[in-house]
Amino acid sequence: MIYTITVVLILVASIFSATFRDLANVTDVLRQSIVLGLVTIGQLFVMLARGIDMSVGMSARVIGLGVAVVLTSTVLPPAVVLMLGLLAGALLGLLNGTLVAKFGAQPFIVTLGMMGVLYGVGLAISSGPTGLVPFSVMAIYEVTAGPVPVAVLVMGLVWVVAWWVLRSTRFGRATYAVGGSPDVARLAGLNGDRVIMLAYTLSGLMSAAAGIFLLARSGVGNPNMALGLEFKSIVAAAIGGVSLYGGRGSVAGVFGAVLLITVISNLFDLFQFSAYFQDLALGLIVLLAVAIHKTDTNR
Amino acid sequence: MSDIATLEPAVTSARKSARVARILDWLSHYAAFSAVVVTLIFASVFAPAFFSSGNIRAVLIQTSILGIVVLGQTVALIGRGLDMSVAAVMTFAAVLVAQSAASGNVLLLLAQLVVLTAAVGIANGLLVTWRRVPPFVATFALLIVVDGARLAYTRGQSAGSAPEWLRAVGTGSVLGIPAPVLIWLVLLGFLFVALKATTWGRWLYAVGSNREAARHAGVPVSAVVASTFLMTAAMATIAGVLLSGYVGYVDNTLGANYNLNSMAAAIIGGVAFSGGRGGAVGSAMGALLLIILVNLLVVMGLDLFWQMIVQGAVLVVAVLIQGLRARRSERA
Repeated sequence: MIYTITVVLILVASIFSATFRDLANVTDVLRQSIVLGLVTIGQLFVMLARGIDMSVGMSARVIGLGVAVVLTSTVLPPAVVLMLGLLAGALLGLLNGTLVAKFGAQPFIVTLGMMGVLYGVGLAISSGPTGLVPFSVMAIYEVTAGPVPVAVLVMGLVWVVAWWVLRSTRFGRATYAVGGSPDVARLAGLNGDRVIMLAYTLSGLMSAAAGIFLLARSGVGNPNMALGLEFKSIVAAAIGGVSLYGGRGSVAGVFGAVLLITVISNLFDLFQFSAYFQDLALGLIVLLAVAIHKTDTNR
Repeated sequence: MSDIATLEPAVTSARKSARVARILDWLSHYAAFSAVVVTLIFASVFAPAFFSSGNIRAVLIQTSILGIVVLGQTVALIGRGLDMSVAAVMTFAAVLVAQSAASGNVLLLLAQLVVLTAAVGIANGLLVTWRRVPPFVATFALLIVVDGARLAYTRGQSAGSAPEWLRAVGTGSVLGIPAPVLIWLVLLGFLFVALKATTWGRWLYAVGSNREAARHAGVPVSAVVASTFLMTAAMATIAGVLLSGYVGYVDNTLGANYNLNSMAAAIIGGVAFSGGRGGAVGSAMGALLLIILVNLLVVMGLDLFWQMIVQGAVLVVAVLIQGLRARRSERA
């Protein structure tokens, strides 16, 4: 379903627009899809485990800004700083996961609260552009192998790994089980709390990676970065067939949805669709998707 | 003897767990109220400037505007829903107000506000009842649409000022009480009675507690759920109008924090996210608490970012209390 729409849209756009089918634009679309892709993969794991993560966007922002500031003011090698950034993101995710699994906090509300807290932390780090990023970090965005950006290749690998983890590892199967039917999962001897905590940790890690990638793209810590990413990732997951009640969804579906959303916004840009109407158009698309989405009432 | 000895630890632990349950129960009912008292005591010691009459007035007006949004959010939450589109509706309403200042056509403004309320409320209601979309997804879709529609409508230029008559309402007083506060108290009174003493109120709690049971008992579940989203949209519209009258100007960020804050206020005020529990007065306390906390940070000269951190933290704490409480009652 999602692929039919994506493929038709890509075909139609390719026929009518020479700019769209240009190789440079194709790689551009793929590179534009990385941030949403990273965050949505994290969101997929959390949603499969019957949760939701509203804090992904602000986690990405806080990590991006934090890394920017630390990069400018420290003697540590950039690679170490980036690792610390990823670790910090994972810890933020673990905190969310602990609040949900161990304290029984309602996922939507508690991560919404975290989103507010992290928004404040972002403001505390900086309310203006801050930190200059060394070229070695900007290379994450820019370096290409032949015509293809290396980042796109790495992202391809991330998609494959995510697919493999959900399909073939104990953790992946446990995530489906815990989200699909917590009681049965418990009876089968699965540690539901640990699965949930791991899913949120993964989401935090992916958000941090997205924040670092955004930083590498802009070259400077932007206090407005990653705005609305939580909503976009949930929309992508929902359009990609991930159940909002846990236990159902796939990497393939989510990949198609991320591609679709990126292609749409790429087309908006190519046809210089007025910025003032882009949000409305996107909103109407979301509304339509939500309205025709068949919600399974048996759960 | 030995039997009693082995029983002893079990009994003590049962007693202890009962005590924890009682504390959590009490907290979930009176957390907002007791936090307000503690914060006021703290303020009287560390920030006496808080109690200046100008500041108290500002706190009350801000509480009333948040409080009006919270009334709607409370109804939605009791019915096991929630509304993420209130901030967008508020800002759109304020934009319409700014435009009416230029044209001077109050009747047109009124018609526009009614259409805005009805369109958003009905759209949310239909998505949730007829299409069975989870409330946060439906209202979030409306959030994007309403924000997008505002941007398209204003071409990004929504700065403007409120008309004189509305400035008078937003900043004026009746018998020494600020007008927005009066409006809030009247609405609060209405909702209190509606929840406690009308069929609709009973239906709402029934729908929030157990949808299936309510349906079997003959409650018009879909109509009740739809009514909650009309309520949130109406309250958001009124709050947006009053807010623009109070601050005197309108810009793109006017309603920004009201999604998070209205939910935080209701939940810290004892409304259960899982539906069926809570009331108008507790939520009002929650709104008062949030505004007092934020105002105190301003009075004490702390940076703006602390406001966001505190607002988020209140929501996290509120939901933790409820989570622990729900977990205990599940086990019992």
